[in-house]
Amino acid sequence: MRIGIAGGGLIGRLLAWRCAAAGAEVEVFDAGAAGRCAPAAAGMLAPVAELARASRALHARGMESCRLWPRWLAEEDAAGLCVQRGAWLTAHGRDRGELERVADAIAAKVPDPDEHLIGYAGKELAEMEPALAGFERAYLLPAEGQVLVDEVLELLGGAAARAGVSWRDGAAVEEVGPGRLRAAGTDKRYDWACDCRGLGARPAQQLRAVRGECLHVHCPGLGLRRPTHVLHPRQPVYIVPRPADVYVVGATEIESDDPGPVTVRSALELLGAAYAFNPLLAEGRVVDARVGLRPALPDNEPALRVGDGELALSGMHRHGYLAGPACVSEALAAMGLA
Amino acid sequence: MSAAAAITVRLNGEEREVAADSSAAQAVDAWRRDPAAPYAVSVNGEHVPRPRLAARALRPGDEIEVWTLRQGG
Amino acid sequence: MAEDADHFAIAGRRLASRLLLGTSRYPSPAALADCVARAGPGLLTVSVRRSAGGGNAFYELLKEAGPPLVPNTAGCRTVAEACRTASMARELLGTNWVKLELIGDDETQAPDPFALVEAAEQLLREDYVVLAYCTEDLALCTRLAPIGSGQGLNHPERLALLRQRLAGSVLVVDAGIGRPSDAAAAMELGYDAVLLNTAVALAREPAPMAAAFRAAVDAGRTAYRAGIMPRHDMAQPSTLAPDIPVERYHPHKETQTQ
Repeated sequence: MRIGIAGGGLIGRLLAWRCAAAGAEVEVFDAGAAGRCAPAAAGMLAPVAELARASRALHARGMESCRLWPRWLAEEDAAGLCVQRGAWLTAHGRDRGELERVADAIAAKVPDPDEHLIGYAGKELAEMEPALAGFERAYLLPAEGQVLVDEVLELLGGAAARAGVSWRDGAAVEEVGPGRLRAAGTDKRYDWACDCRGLGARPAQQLRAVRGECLHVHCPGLGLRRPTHVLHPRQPVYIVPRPADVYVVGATEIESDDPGPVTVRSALELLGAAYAFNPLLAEGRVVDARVGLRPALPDNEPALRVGDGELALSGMHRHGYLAGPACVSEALAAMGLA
Repeated sequence: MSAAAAITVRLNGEEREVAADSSAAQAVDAWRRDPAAPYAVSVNGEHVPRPRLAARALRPGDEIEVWTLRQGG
Repeated sequence: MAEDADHFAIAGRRLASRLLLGTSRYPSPAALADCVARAGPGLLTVSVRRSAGGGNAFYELLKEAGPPLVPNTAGCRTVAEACRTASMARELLGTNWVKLELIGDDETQAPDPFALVEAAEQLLREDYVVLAYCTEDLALCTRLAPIGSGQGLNHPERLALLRQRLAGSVLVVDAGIGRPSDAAAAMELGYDAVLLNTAVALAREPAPMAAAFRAAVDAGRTAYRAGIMPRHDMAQPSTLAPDIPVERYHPHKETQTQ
């Protein structure tokens, strides 16, 4: 089977690798890193916390991805790039109402609330996660975790190449049709043409851009072990531990096509939230600032659309790492490769 | 000052170089990404209705704001 | 006997519903569209801000949704700021309606009544239709009449007095409504409409909650028009049939146990 893929970001790489691993002959057309949003993500796997806003379908895809990530990464001896020791959901004392509102919303939607949402308070919380000692109360979400974004993106590129995927760099796809991709004015024929582009798929897909900004802070001594969602009525943030004492503080969600650098306002909001999270972060160093334009459909959830010899995986929004593997495995099944 | 000389203005908080003989309309049109999106413009804190933008010459340091519709309660 | 038609109009413009809806903080644009479809609001409030360079998708969505769009002056702290925002919004949306908000205190977001009156007077002179967001203070609202928008149901007796004294004005209850019964209660007091946002947007399932509020507003309005029985002392159940337990006919007990 011959498969042509438009887009070499997170989803294009995952799909190319899994198709090639399943025996297909795969060619990827990638416009380049310029508009890529995958590196700006925190890589959180938050199928439970997302339930406060997202659908049960996204939760199911997230749970499936949490199962697939370590299995797939293990094939490349890289299971360690997926860390699953749970995540925290918390809020400062004055925002306690918001914490209870979100916890209630999750409990009402998740199949086994007692298993997925475990309350900790006081001394117990401080022992479990010393970096959260300043918080009265937090919920542990044991199913959650993260993938290490930079390492995973690099690994996926390598894994695709090792599986025999041909890579066309700097080749933006102009059109995806049934069994057909057009790049640089030339039509190429395949058994399946797959559209894995982000905002590059406009206007064929009804996508809008949601700008996300995050800061990487180096802070030895904080010692936070699990990704933490800090709720707030207006400006919720997450703090995600990375190797070598780096913490990703994110992320804004701004309806904007502006790909420019992080604004002062966003930096103030994110760092203000980080400082309030734990004053130790005041001594940290901002070592990186990243911006991505997330491709979003009107319902903010990923969609797999399957036609005759063509399919599209679009609108990953904030959920590329969370829903990507599940969506890709659905796409494989649709092409008869599962 | 020659017509080709550039001046610096601020547009939605960011510094921009524009030709010294630019109008507010030119600076705003160059900045807008989606021509169908509704907008209104202020210069130095004063609303300048769209029909008057072409006649509003820019001076160094002018603060231009392009506003649009957002979610609100 | 047929009921008289119950038209709702502000400044001579008929609105399709007495439920007014804000557009902030929904889980997604599609969720907002669903809520508008289920609530059938008389108008939608929006804000106007510095453009972040986004596309037209939000405006298209609201235009398709149907109800008229009314801009607010959220976040404004001075008369000049509020008047400029109203002027930009007027050009942006092609409407002379504005929901006037003037924040006097950042922490509580409480309005500044003095600046509010001044800004409202200025905007009225410039031919705006002003929905002024204020507290339920009688003197203040008398100055702001004909159109006001009050804050929550913390003081129902003050709201009742206000309604009674400003019988000819359009009065809308805004902010502080958490549940459909609050909306019904405001409508039972004779308020003309309620304006909601977070109670719908942050509900676990926003679209069904939008439908619940629509039903509550209808119920409260219909009850008000039907003439609500005056309160009387339920401790004297002499008119009840003697063989039926009193509790079963005690409306207050029933509402309190839910």
